[in-house]
Amino acid sequence: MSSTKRPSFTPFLLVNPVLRNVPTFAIERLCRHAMTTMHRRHKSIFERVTEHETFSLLISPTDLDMDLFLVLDPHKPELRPAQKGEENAVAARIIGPLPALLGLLEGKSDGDALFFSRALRIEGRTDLVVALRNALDGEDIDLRSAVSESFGVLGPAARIALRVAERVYQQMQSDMNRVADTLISPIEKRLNGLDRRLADQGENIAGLEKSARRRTPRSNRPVSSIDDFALPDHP
Amino acid sequence: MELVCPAGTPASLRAAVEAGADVVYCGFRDATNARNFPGLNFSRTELAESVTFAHKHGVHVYLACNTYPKAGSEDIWHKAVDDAVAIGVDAVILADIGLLRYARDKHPDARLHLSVQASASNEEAIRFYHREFGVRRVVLPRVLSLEEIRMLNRRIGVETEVFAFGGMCVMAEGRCSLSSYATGESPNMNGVCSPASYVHYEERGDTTVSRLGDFTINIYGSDEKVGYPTLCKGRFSAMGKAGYLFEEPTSLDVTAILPELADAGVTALKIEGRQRGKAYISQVVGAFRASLDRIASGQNGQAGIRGNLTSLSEGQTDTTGAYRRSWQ
Repeated sequence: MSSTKRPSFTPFLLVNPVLRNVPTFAIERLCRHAMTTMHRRHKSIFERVTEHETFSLLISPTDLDMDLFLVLDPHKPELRPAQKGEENAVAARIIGPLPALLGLLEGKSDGDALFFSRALRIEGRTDLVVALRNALDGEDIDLRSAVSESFGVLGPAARIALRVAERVYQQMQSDMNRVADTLISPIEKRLNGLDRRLADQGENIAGLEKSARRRTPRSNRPVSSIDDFALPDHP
Repeated sequence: MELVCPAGTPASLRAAVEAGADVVYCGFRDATNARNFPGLNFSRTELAESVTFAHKHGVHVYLACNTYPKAGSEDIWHKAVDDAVAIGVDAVILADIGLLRYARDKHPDARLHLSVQASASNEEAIRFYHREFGVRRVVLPRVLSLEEIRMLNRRIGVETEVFAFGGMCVMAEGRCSLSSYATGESPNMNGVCSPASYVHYEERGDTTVSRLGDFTINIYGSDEKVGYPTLCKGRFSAMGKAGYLFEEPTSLDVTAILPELADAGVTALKIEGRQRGKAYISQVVGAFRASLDRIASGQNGQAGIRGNLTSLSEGQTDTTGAYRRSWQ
């Protein structure tokens, strides 16, 4: 489980410079709080997914400079930043952009569709990842209400702040998409041109091969030594 | 036409009901149904609660008990039928003739549907199931053309349900041994096609390699969309050429031919995908509901739908399958 993460072009990329300077204990505390909240609100997920065994996963958001180590245990689940080399200590690894992973957590995006489009990649024990996906999908997880609940009496204010943050995020994503389009479109045009030229060359070569074959007498044509469908000779 | 929608979890069932399903079909969490995947399906309590919820919203629930009982373990399948009837599902979907006989004798008032797993694709076969077991609806295999379905509907006097959207199977429904060959576990007996515990993905540079047991199913280039890791959708090399020998990774989508299916006398449309998440269910069921409502009010049923569903399709391409087949 050692394939590289290619960064996804999402606004979370811009969080990385900040994230790198946040003390580890603060991130650990945040992760612990998130896991405690999740365990309290959705205990059945942990029971359902660990019906046969407890296990660990590596969550690798492609837009963050950080992987998360997740221990699925019905009584003592754990979430923390992953350390170097831990990819070999987990049963499976889930790789994808953070917005897609959060969408999966809330059941707002379809895991299979993300997988078909290759936005999501899985390494290791596919059965455990499928079981987790199904257990998560069986619950109604609402991240907004979980976050606002964490702020206690300041919950309503947190909810408003979250709504503003979401609006800003969407605006940033749309701006980043425009930037990406501007940067990529000249290269795309060039590649399309090359593709067309390659296709033309391919057709030309096929035409030449055909006419060469016509000019070669049948008896002189090479015969393939391998016949995949040949049956063994009977004695 | 009735819209019959999948649910792998109670949350998916609620999503299907809210998106406009007429019927939701589901299965128990064991080998009695053909989507026996880890973490999926319903306990008895969950099914009872879900049936109450669905009925409150005027939606029916069908229970799929559509695998073939294993010799010596028939009681698991018998119990599934008994419990489904006791819970009050609106129909039980069965494939095995022994189980059909059991359900007919033990629960004469229960509504029985014939699963696609039974592969009943001609007039005599369907008449047999209707005459012997009182089957009131048959889910037709995905091998029939529109014309054949129209002809059958004129002759059989049994309701027909056809697949409308979702994963395709090679045309040997109920008789597939490919998964068993590779993994020892069968879709028809254990309810698992390509069980996830045998599936492995490997990233090799820019390519993704999918494997099932000891078999490499496909090697996807960086710009290719991915499909399910089933042998029938594998890309194999023979005589120097690589290609999809059985079937390409693609999904069925009949949005374009809904009026023709209605005209052919089809009673119900089935959406495949009990293994999919509630996001898929909401989107597909919602799209088909809108389409059917538009057709009912005399408008174009296709408008604005097709593009949305392609992103949910396997390999992100779709087909009308055998309904408009050009082969024999």
